Amino acid sequence: MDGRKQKQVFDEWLSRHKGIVFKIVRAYAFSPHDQEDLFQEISLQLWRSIPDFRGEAKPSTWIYRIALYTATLWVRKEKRQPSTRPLADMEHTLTVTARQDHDRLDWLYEQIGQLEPVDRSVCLLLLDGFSYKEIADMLGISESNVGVKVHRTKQQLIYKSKEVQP
Amino acid sequence: MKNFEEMQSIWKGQNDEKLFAVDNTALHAYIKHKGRTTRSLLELFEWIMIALNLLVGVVLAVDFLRDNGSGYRLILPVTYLAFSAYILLRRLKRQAKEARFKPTLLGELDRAIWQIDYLIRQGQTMMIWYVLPLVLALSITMFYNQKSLWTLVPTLALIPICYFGVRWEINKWYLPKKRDLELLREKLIAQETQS
Repeated sequence: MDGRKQKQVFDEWLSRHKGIVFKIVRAYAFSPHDQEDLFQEISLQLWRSIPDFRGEAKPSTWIYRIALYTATLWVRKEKRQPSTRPLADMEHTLTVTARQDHDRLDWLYEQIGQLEPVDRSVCLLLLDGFSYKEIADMLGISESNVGVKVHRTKQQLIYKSKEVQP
Repeated sequence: MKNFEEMQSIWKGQNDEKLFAVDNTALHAYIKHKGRTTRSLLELFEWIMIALNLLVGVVLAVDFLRDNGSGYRLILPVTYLAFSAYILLRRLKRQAKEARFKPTLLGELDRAIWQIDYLIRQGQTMMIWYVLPLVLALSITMFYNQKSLWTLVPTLALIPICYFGVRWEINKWYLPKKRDLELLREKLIAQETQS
């Protein structure tokens, strides 16, 4: 695949499905520095994955999988070896836009951020309405395993919500 | 929020809202820069090895043909050309194996673990299929060229240098990364046996 075609596909993916990437960035990285870093890493992996994309899955599913995989590895890498590059030295590719105040959405992100990276993947997919089968296919685990993870994640979120809203 | 469905509706409400703005020009510049400098280690290593062995083999073969030299001088070019062909063959085999991993999160993890295993195996077996034959071919050529035994010393020093260099590389980079990926894999399938 030539570079021009790759750029065209990348731009199209980003313009149509950037919402997926943003949600994953916000769920896995919390400071502006980390969000910038993770966004760049996901973008890079998406770019590299384009020649392997055969069109057998929907682009959104493909993007979700690549982004979740990259974010999960990124969290582990950051835990082991946090990036020391100051934000001022980073290429600025991402800016936080002024958004309306959503207390409940912020709370949800905060809770998702406290889950284990793998459970976070399951939670995001579930919130976005993917079925157990789709989640199982995307993660490569059995539906019953997804069921266990979903049950645990739901329980945890509901329990936490009761804590703040008795 | 009383139940998960309510959380889901709050979650879906954000779909129309822009969380971030992307600077496309800066992003493309970043990808162009990183894409050039961090090409896959494996791919780069293989291409360097193929090109280098091919180049040395061809130069030595041309030199042999020009001088109409003795038979022993063919050992080195043939060795280098054979290495180049062998590495190309290994590369094709590797690509065929890699294509078998499923396009899932677990498949990606399995592929990453397999790639590290491949690099470790390659580093360990290179001593046998690359360094030792090369040192042998060099030694034979030097022997027939009636060079002093002292000239063999740097050539023979290649063996321990390569051996310890590869061991250091494996322990420092590949094994910790592999362990990390395996832990993640275990977490992903943690409930598989229980469920």
